[in-house]
Amino acid sequence: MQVRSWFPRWHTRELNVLASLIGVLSVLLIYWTTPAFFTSGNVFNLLRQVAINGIIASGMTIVMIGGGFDLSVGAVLALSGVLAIQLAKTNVWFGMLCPVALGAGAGLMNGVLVSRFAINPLIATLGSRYLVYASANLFTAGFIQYNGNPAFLVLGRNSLGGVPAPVIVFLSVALISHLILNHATFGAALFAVGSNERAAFFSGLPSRNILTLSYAATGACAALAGVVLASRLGVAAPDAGEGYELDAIAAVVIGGTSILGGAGSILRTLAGVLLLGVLSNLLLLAGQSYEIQRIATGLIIVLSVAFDLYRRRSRQ
Amino acid sequence: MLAALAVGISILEIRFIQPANLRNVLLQMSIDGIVSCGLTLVILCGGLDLSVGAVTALSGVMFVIALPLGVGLAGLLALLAGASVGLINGLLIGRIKLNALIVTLGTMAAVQGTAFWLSRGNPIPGPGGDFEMLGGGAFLYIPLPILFFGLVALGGHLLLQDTQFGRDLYAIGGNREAARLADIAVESRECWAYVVCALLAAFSGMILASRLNTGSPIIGQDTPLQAIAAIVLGGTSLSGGRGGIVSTVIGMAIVAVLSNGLNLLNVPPAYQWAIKGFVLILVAGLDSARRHSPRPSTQTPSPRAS
Repeated sequence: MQVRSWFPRWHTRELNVLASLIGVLSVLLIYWTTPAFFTSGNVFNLLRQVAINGIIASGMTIVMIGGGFDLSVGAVLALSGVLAIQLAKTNVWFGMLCPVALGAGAGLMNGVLVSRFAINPLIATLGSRYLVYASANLFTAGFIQYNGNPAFLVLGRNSLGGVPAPVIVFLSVALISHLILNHATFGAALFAVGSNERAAFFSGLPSRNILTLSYAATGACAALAGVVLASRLGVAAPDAGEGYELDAIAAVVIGGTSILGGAGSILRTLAGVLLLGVLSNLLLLAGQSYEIQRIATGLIIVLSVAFDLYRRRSRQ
Repeated sequence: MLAALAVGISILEIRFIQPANLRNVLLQMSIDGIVSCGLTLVILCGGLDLSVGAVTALSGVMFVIALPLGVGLAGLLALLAGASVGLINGLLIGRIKLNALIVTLGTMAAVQGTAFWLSRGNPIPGPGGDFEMLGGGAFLYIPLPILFFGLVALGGHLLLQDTQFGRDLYAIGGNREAARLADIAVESRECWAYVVCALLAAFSGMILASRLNTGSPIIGQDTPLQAIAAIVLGGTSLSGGRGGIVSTVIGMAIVAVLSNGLNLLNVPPAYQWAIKGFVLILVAGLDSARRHSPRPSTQTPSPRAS
C-alpha cells in the first residue's frame, strides 16, 4: 500500500524522538501552569481514579488481542458490584470472590457464543449485556444496595505503605495479564489465534477454547473492577457501569492495541489508561469541565488510531 | 416472526390491537427508526457508526439554541452539524481507511462533549407552540413522526434497490476488493453513506427535540446499541452486503411490539431486558447456523447443470 503523499515522510525513529520531546515539553508546561499536579496526593488520587478503568482495560486487552470484543463489561461490573455488597453481608471473602467467579462465568458464556456458535462478538456481547443487566436488576429488585462493613471496604478505601488498595489491585492485575500474555503458552497461542484464527486452528491449536478463555478472563477482570468499586463506594447500583465498556476500549486503542487482533500489549494499555487519566485530571485541575474532557478524549482516540495506521504504513 | 408475535400478543392482551395502541407502537419506533434506516446504509457497506446517538443530541441542542434565528435556519444548522459529523466520519473511514468502530467511538465522545458544551450541561427548554409541531403535529390524522419515518424508510428502500448508489453499497459490503476492481468509487460511496446516516440521525434529533419541547444533551446515549440490535434482529448482517431497509423496519417493529406487549402484560423491565438479550442472541445464532450449514442442493448448481 502506498503512503499517501500528504503524510510527511518521517521515519519511526524520528517520530519517537518527536514524541518524547513533546512529552518532556508538556511535563514542563504542566509543572509551570498547574503545580498542583505533581503533589504526591494528586498522583495517588490520579492512579486511584484510573484503577477501575485500568482493571477493565487489562481484561479488554486480552480479548482484543484474540481478535474479539466485549460490550458486556459494564453490565458485569454492575452485577458483580451488587452481588459483592449483598454476599459480603454473610462472609467478606465469599462476597469478594464469588462475583469474580460469576463474571468469569458470564465471560465464558460470551466466549462460547462467539467461538462455538460463530456469532459476531459485537452482537453476542450486546445480547449478554442485556441478560446480565437483567439479572442484576432481578437480584436487587432494582434497588441500590448498601454495605458499610469496614472489613468489606478494605479493598476500596485502605492503603498499603501509602499506596491505595485499588491501585495495588490494578497493578497486580496488569502484571498478571502481562505475564500471561508474554510468558505463558496461552498468551502465545492467543496472539496466534488473534492474527489468523484459521491458520491457528489448522496448526493444531485449540483456537475455540483459547478464545473462550480470553472472554472468561475479560469477564473476571470486569467483575473484579465491580468488587473494587463497590468496596470503595460502599454502595452499588444494578444499573451502574454504563459507558465503562467504551472507556476501556478507548484506553486499549489509544495504547495502540489493534482492534483487528493479533497485536498489542498490557504495557500499551497502561499507557492508554494513564494518558486518559492524566488528561482528565489536568483538565479538572485547570478548571475545565466535563464537556472539554469528552471532546479531548474523542480527538485523542481518532488521532491515536490515525497515528497507528501511519506507523504501520511507513513500516511496509 | 413479527406476525406471530403480534397475533400472540393480541390473544394474550386484547388492548394491543386497539388503534390507539397500534398508533403508539408506531410512534415509539418511528424516531429511533429514522436513525436505524441511516445506520442500515452504513452497515450494508460493511461499516458501523456509534456516533448516531451523540448526533441526535447535538442536533436537538443546536435546533433549540438556534431557534431565535428562525425555525428554518435553525433546522438547517442542526442538519448541517449532523452532516459535518458524517463527513468527518466518512473521510476518516472511507478515505484514510481508519477502523470504523474506533473512529465513530472517538467522534461520539467529541460530539457528545460539543452538545454538552453548547448547552452548558443543562437541557434547554423550547418555546412550545408551533415548535412542537414537528414532533407532535399530524397530517391527515397521521402523526408527523410516523409520516417522516414512512417517507425515510420508503426513500431509503428505493435508494438501495433502484439506484446505482444503493447497489454499489451492497457490492462494497459483499466484497470490497471486488467492488474496487469493478470500478466502483468505494471511498466516495462509503463517505456518502456516513453523511446520509448522520443527516438522518440529525433529523431524528430535531423531531425528538420538538416532541419533548427540549434540547437535551444526554439523549441518545443508548441509541447506537439499540439501533444495532434492531438492525441485526431484522436480519441485516453486520459484516455487510446482506439485508436492507425492509429488514430494518421489521427489526424495529419486532422490538417495538415486543416491548409494548410486555408492558401491556405488566412484565417488569428486568424480564424485558432478559427477553430482549435472549431474542438477540437467538436470532444471531440462527443466522450464523444458516450461514455455516451446508447449502441445500437446489442452491448449488452441479457442474453439469451450469
